[in-house]
Amino acid sequence: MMQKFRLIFVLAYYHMRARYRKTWAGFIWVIASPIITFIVQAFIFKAILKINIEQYPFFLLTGLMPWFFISQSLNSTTSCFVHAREMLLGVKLHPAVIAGTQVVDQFFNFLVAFFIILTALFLAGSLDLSAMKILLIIPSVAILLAFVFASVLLLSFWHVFYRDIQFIVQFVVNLTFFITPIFYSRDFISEKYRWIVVVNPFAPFIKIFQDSLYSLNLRSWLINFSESIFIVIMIMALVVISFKNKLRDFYINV
Amino acid sequence: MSNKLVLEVQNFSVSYAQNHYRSREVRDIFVRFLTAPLNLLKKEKDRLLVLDDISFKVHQGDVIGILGVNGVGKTSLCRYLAGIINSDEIKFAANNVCSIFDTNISIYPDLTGRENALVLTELLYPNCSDSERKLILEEAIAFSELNEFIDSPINIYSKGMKARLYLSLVTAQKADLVILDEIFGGTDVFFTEKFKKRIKKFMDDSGAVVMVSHNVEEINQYCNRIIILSEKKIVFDGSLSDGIKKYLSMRQ
Repeated sequence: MMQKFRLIFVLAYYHMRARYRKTWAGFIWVIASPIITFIVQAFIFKAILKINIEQYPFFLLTGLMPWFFISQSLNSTTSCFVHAREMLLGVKLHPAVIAGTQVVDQFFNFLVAFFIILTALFLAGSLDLSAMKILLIIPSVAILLAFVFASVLLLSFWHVFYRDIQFIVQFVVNLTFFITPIFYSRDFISEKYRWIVVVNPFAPFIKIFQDSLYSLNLRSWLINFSESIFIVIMIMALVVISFKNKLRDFYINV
Repeated sequence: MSNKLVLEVQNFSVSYAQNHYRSREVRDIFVRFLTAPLNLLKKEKDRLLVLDDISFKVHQGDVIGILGVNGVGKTSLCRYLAGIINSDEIKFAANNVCSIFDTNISIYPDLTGRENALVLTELLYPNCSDSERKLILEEAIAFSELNEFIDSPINIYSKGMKARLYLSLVTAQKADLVILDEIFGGTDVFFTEKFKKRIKKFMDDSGAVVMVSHNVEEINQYCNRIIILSEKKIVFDGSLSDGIKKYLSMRQ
C-alpha cells in the first residue's frame, strides 16, 4: 500500500512536470481559471442578479472551489486509463495508481487556487475563521478527495469499455452545476423542488464546505458528512464490483 | 535443472467479451434499447475463448520458448504470467518478476529520456532503495549509449532509441522470473549484438525465463524447453529439439 502511495506521488510529480514543462503559463492558467471564474461569478450574481446572501464572495468561494475540483477532475481525467495504455500493458501497475496520479494533480491545483482566494478574502477582511471551522474543513477536504478519487476510478474504468462516457460526464457535470446549490443557497429552492438536491450526489460535498467554512452549522455538517461517506462507500462498492467482474476484459479493451 | 517451482498455471483459461467490440458507446446501447428493448434483456453467450484450460509448471532453470501463430494468445498468456493481470489460476512462487512487452515505451513524451528513465526505474524496481535505483539508472543510461540525447525530450527519439533505453533499464537487475515478448528487433545491428550479450547474462542470472518469439533461431539459441499453443490448447510441452521439429511440421 505504501509503495502504491509513493508511486502515486512520484508519477504525479512527473505528470505535472510534463504538463508544465514547456511553459509556466500552463500552470498559471490552471490556477487562474478558477480564480477568474470566481471573480466573474461573484460579480454577476452579487452585483447584477443581486443575490441576497451575506458575505456573498465568501459564500460563493466555499461552494465553487470544491465544485471546481470535482468538475475539473471528472472532465479531464475520465480518459486517463486509455491514455496510460502503454504503462498499464507494459509494466505491473494497478490502474488505481494512474487514477490517483490524476487526482493528486487536480488536488494540487485546487489547493493552490483555494489558498490564493482565501488569502485575498482574509486580507479584504471578509474572512472569519475559527478553530472549529478549521477543524471541520480537514475531514471535509478528505471526504471530497475520496469522492473524486472513487468517481474518477469508476468512470475511467468504464470509459475503457464505452468511449463516449467522457462526453456524457462533461454534459452531466455542466448541467449539474445549475441544480447544485453552489452560487445560490438551499433556502432559495422551493419545497416542490427540494428533491433535486436530495438526489443530487454532488450536493452534500458542497454543503459540508458551506457548513464548515462559511457559516458554522454542526448539525447540518454532520448530516451532509454522513451522506458524503455513504455516497463514497456506494461508489467504492461499484468500483470493487466492476474491477472484480471486468478486469480481464479491461486489459483487452484499454 | 533445479526442481524449485517458480510458477504454476493450473486450468487457466482466457476469454474476452465480444459485445464491447460491437458497441463501444453508451449512446449505441441507448438507441438499441429504444429500438429493440427486449434484445437487451437476452443474455448473450458472447465470450471469445482464447485459451482453454491450460496447465503447466515453470521451474528454476527453465528457459521456455512459447511458439504459436499470431492471435493464439501468447502475449495474453505472458501478461498473466508477468502478473500484469491477476488470475487465481496462476500461482507465483517467485517474488520478483520482470517482463518486457512493448520496447517502444515512453511514459511522458514531453519529458527527457533521463526523466522517463527515472519514472520507469520507479515502476520497474519498486522494492529497491533510492540509492539502488540511482545505480540502476546510471548503469542503464551508460549501457544505452544515448549520450547527450538522454537529456532531450523522448518525443524526438526514434523507436530504436526508446528501445535502447527501455531494454537497458529492464535488464539491469536479475529477476526470479523473466517474461520476454518479441523483444529483439527495432534496435540497430550494433546495439542488438551488444544487447544479446546482456540479455544472455540477464537470463543466466535470473531464475526462469518465458520467452515469446516467432524467430525459431532465437528460440533455439536461448531456450531449453518449448511450449506450443494451437487452437486454444497446449499441443506440445517438452524438449527444445522435439518442440522445434513439431512447430516446423505444424507450419508445413
